[in-house]
Amino acid sequence: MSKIWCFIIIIAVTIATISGNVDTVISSIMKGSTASVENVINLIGMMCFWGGMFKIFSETKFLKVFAKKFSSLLYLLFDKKELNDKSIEYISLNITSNLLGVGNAATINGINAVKELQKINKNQDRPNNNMTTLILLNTASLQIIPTNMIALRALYNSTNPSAIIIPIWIVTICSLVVGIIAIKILNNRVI
Amino acid sequence: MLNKIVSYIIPLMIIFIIICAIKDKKDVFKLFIEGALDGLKVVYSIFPYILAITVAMYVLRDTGALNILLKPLKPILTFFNIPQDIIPLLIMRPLSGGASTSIVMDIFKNSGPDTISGKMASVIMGATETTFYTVTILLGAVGLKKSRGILIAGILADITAMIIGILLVNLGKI
Repeated sequence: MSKIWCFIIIIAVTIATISGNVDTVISSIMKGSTASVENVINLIGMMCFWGGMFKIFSETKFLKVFAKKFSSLLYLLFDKKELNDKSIEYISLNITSNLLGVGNAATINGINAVKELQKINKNQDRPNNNMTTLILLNTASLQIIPTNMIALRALYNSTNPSAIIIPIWIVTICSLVVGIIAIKILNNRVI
Repeated sequence: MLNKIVSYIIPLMIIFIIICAIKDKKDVFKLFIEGALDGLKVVYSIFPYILAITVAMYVLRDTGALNILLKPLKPILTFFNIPQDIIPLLIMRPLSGGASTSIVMDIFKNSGPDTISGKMASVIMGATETTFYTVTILLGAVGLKKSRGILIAGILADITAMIIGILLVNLGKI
C-alpha cells in the first residue's frame, strides 16, 4: 500500500513537471483534499445509521438461533476431523454475521474461530485446510443485502439504488465458486 | 417488478431488526446510539486513508499522468468497453476498504451512480471484500506468517468478480 501510494505521487508530480503542468499539482492537491472532506461528511450519517442498526441486530437472539441452525451446513466445506465444538460455534456465528452484514460481529467471531482452530492445528506454523477455507470465505463478500452500497447510491441521487442487489448476488456467487475451487485445489498442492 | 420487490428489502429489514430486539426485551435506543458511535469511530479512523487516496487520485488525474500511464492499455480498455475511471478501483479494491470507498464516491460524484462506470463500481464494490486486509487480520490473530494458497484464491475470486461485474453492465443486464 505504502509503495503504491509513493509511486502514484512521485510519478504524477514528475510527469507534471516534465510536461510543464506544475501548477496543476497544487490545485489538484487542494481539490482532492476538499473532495475527501465532502465525501466523508456524506459518509458519516450513513455509517452511523447502519452501525446503530447492526448493533441492535447483533444483540438479538435471532442471530444466535440462525447460526445454530446453520452449523450443520458447515460440514460441506470443512473437514470434520479438525473441528471442535467451540470452533463450529464461532465459524457459524462468523458466517452468519457476514451473511447478514454485521461486520463487527463477523470480525470478532472470525478471530475467535481462527484461534480455536489453531489450538487443534497439528502443524503450528502454518494454517490447516479448515483455516484457509474459513479465511477465504471471509475475503468473499457474503453479505446478502449490500446496505452500504445501496445507501451510498441513494446519497448520490441514484434513480434506483437497490437495482444492484441481484447483479451483486450473481457476481458474488460466481466469485465464491471460483474462490472455493481454487482454495480446495491449493489446499492439496501448497503445504 | 423484481426491482420493485427488491426496493422493499431494506425498509423491511429495518422493521425486522427492531421487532426482533423488542421481542428480546433489549434497550433498542441505547444499542442504536452505541452502534452509531462505533460507526463514527470507523469514519474517524478511515478519514486519513480517504484523504490520502483522494488527493493521490486527483493529482494523478489532473496532472495528466493517468492518461499517459493508461495509454498503452487504451486499445484493450476500449475493446472490452471498460471506462477509464474504474481502473483505480480495480487496483485498490483488494488492498484498502477506505481507499476503494473514496474512489467509488468520486465516481458517483463525477459520473453518477446510474452511469456505466457508476454501475460497474457499485457491483464490484458490493461483491468483493478487502482481501489483503482480511487475510492479514485473521492470520495475524494467531501469529501465522505462512498463508499457503489463501491470497491466490482470494485474488482469483476478486478478479472473477471484476470481470463478471463489467460483463453484466456491458451486456445491459443492470
